[in-house]
Amino acid sequence: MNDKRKKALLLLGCPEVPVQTSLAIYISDLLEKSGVRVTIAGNNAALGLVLTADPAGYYINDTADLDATIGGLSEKRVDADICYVLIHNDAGVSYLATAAALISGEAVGIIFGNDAVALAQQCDDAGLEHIRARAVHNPKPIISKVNMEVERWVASNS
Amino acid sequence: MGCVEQLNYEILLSKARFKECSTFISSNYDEYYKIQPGYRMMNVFIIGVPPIYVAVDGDNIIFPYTKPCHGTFVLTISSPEEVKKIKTTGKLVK
Repeated sequence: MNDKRKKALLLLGCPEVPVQTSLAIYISDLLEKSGVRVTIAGNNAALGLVLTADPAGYYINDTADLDATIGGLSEKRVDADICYVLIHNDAGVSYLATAAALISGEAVGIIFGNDAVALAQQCDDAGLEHIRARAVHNPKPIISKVNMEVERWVASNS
Repeated sequence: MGCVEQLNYEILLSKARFKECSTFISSNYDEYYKIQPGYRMMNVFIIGVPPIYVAVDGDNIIFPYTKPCHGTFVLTISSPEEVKKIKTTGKLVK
């Protein structure tokens, strides 16, 4: 059966900043509840943390290897209506720029961690869409912005 | 889909910001090209913030390679095939 739901892709960065795993599960849940099919892509460690936090699979339906996903996007075997890229370092900005260039939908950076302001400036300089908050251990500073961003995208695509 | 570890590479710059790697390539090589994010080089896909530069030095190809946890590296690999490919498909900058 064809799945007609909109597709979302979450690209995870290095899992060294604690809020990333919670944010990934939270965003996935928000999108799934809005009728969006979500795939979370990351390296082994980032995916391991997400899957370990959701052992019964209540919130996470689909995961993929990050490198394979970039390859799939590049070769047009993978696409998404929205791609959220979790960013807390310079590499994350590179992943956002790549996603923005390759997907047919929107790519939005979700910037957190101690360097959020500088990374947001890098995104601005490159013309990349993003939201940001200086959240490291406590996700609260960025959650309201995530809620608003997901609501915005869902509303503009329903 | 492979991994850069399967390639016989040499590291020219390690754990840098992407912009520093772009500057390294454009400052140190006489011949370099612009590619799009997602460009396939052997068994890896190059990511980055455009413009992404790839240089050529004889049979060697010099390119940025980003890892989520370690930043961006500038790597060089001897590959006449990739040199030929970039000369055909890349946009010559210098």
